[in-house]
Amino acid sequence: MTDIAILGDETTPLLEFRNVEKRFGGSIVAVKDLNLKIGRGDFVAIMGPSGCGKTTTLRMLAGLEEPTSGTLLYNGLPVNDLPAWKRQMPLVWQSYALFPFMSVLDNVAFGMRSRKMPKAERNKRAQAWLDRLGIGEMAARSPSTLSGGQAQRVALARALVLEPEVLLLDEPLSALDAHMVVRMQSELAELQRSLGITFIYVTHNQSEAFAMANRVVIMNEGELQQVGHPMDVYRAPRTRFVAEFVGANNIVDGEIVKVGEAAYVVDTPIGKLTSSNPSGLEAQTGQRVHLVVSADMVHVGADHSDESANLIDARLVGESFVGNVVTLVFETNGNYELKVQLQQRALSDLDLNINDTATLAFGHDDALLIPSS
Amino acid sequence: MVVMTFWTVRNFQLAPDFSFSNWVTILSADYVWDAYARSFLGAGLASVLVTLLAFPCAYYLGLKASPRVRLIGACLIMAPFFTSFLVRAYTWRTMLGDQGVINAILGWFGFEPVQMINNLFGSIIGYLTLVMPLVLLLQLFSLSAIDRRLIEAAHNLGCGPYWAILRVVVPAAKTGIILAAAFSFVLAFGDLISPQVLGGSNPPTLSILIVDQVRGGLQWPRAAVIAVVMVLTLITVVTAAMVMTYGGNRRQSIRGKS
Repeated sequence: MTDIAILGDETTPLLEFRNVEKRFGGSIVAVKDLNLKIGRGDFVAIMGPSGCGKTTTLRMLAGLEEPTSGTLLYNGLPVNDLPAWKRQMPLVWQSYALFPFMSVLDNVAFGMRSRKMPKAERNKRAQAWLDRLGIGEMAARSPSTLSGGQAQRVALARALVLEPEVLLLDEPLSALDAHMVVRMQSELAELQRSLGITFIYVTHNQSEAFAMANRVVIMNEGELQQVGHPMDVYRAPRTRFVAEFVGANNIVDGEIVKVGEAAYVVDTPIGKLTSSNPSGLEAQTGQRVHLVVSADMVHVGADHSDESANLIDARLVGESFVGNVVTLVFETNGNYELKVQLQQRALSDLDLNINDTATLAFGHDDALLIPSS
Repeated sequence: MVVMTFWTVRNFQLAPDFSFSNWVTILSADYVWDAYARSFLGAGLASVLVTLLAFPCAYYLGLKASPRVRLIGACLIMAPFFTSFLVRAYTWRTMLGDQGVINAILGWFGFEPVQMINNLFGSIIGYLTLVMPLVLLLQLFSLSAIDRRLIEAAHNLGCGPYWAILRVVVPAAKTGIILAAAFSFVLAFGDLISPQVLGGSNPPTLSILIVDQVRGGLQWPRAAVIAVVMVLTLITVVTAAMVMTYGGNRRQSIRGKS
């Protein structure tokens, strides 16, 4: 392994997928023509709904699936044919996959045993990692006696004790209680920062990914949709799928009717809307587009004289509370639904009841255009 | 049966009694202990051999083969259950005998005939024939029930395929493997056909002694003594197997709670 590491340099990405495709049984395409570079020290979250190919992508990295075509590079060298046991990419499994017939300590020491490390040394290292993750006193226990959070830490210790360059995590928090998830999220992020190694984290949960990752990869039906910083992906989705997946977006279909100096006018079922944010789209008159507005960018109760905003009259038809964030659902003339997210305090200031009519406003800059798919 | 061990036989007539003479006669006879050792070692050897021989096949069918191949394999394993064991034992006789198929082939290459029946080898072949299908099935069940993620996790942690079998597959399927071996010991220990048809009856095993006691003098009580000894042996062996299977886990979880 060390000879490979020497060959890599700063410009070579740590991991690279080059036109990678994975089919099962010849016809089922799990991953389509994937091109992706992953750098050193990144916390990458691969996201998408179930069946989008994210887990297959992770398993190809671990060597548990072989790409049907294309090349997978590690430090610039192809590793397609390198068997799983010769790659140093430990995986933290969704089900933890702890060996039930071994003690916790033996589980953590397992990988070092494969590397023929003397028993005293591997037990010392395993114990040190268990201590670091706060479960040192569990060493002699059987994995079946552990709680979900404890088992999770054992799985982490078992992987990290090998001092890998890359840690793979397959929905590691999906089996935990809500309060444990929040705690583990900050612990994982902290761990990644202090170790400085690459974490590749697969999840279907957007909030998990956005809470930890500095780079998100969104996939759908085996295709890469968008790669970028979580905030950029959130603010500037590039496809309709991403706009829907990152949630809390209003998406209106329309046609560009006027291309101005800095703004585009789009004819939509809820009226003519202006956008000054084409997000790289070379928009032309007559082109069909989706106009996307984040729900938290819409203001309620605007003044009709405001020229710099898109104004829509709508009727409040529903509201839902998650914590102190309220999502209001409005209905426009054309029976179109618009979502608005507010802090709960802002809502009480508004004094708005169901079936009340209000004027909604969003800035030209907050109206994003993406190509119609 | 236990009660009968205390009866006596007079003038070829069974008579209820309370006498330890049967126990004394049997337990002080060297030939009984020789037979005991022979039965025990034969059955032990057979269960070790069958475990080792069945494992690669069960491993392939349970973990490597496609579901279709596994189904066909399971059907083939069950096929011997539909024929009489006596028939299968006699089939081996015709194949392994001095004029059998194997010695005929060896003869073409100029080899002397090898004696393969009427000895321990013959008995072992018989035992293996008797217990192989059952052991294969039990191992197949326990291997195909293994969580494959455990094997993948072993690979992921740098453990190659052969070490993964030893460190993960066998421990994960331990219960089924030991249970199958215990079953095969039980079957082989009490088997009469293998030592008689393929082992040549002489020197005898315990099961042959039972038949001899009854046939040559209607010594049902002495036969019962041997049978009771056999049952006690089997209970001990099966209990030991159970302790081997579950004892380790229990100790571990108790230690965990302290």
